Amino acid sequence: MIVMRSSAALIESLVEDLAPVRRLDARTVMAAAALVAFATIAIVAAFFGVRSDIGAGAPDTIFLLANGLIFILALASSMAVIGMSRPGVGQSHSGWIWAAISAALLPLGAIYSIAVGGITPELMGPELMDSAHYGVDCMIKGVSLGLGIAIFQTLLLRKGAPTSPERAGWLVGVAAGSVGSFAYGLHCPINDLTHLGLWHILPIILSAAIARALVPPLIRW
Amino acid sequence: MALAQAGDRAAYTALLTVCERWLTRYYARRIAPCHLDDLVQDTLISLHRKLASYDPLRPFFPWLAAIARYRWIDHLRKIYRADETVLPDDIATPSGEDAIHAKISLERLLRHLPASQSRAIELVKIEGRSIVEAAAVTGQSESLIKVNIHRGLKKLTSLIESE
Repeated sequence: MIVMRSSAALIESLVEDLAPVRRLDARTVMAAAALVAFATIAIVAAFFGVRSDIGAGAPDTIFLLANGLIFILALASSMAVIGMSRPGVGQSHSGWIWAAISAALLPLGAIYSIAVGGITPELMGPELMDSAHYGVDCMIKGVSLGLGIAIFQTLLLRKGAPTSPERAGWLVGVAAGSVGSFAYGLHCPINDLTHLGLWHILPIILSAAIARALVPPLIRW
Repeated sequence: MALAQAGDRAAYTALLTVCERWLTRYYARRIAPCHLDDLVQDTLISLHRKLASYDPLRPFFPWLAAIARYRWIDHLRKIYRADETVLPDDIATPSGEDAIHAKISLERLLRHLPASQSRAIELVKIEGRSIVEAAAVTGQSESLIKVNIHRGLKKLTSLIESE
């Protein structure tokens, strides 16, 4: 235990307390994060199954585009979280913002698609209920599947020294939601831009809000 | 630092001694003198607890400065009013490492705040004046002083590594 005394006495006490530490090596941490992401995908494959078009080697273009953008957001936000665990004046962790802007094209595209197509009579009937049902399912599964990466990144930040806990909280949520949404996207058979742009992006927004509220108190130092 | 991370106590003693001196200079005139020792010691403890977060492939001082800035802002949040209000003029300031210091200094961080926010922080949190006194000096209302301090500290946190 460290007791506050004069600086010389404190230094002596800190030196006595010294034990070899395992560094937060970026490559090792990235590999561990990738492992957690693969485990998440494996859970989707094992419990829900993978889309048939992926198995056939001819995935749908809209799906590829949407899940590709979400994957890039997952990668960029995870890199930012890893960077934030190892502080340094002069470092920038802003690359994820561009990935987020790119991913924002999906909900914008969905809104545009609704605006141009309008609400057709079919959409007011049972199909709307079906669509909402599938959508909510995708959203809940996306958030839930992000839990593993959220726990991993929170533990990483607890070991590290994030200087902006609030921003780190947002980013953990964005990364977790993106990984969860990407993983469940490998199962979800719907290729519609409206569905992908809304229900596969909402888990990211929801996870970010939850992590912003929960993570900062856990990682302050 | 790499030796310290491996558990070398002699290297760690030398490192902490240098850091203690550096931090004392770094914080000079940016914290009330009565809080200087506490802040330096808090930062040394943080350094100790966060040893794993240093990457030996990167320069050391930007890492130390990020930790020092974080602790400084945290300290400013905690203290409301210092007992001592006058900062002495004879506090040693760095000379040899001017170039590095200029890039990671606390002044540089404060310069990124609007003048009203940095002035409110300096008067109340660094010089230890009351909200009423700060309001009288700046011509801002008391509630505006409080808002400026709150917003300023929040912005400083977001700038710790980037500026």
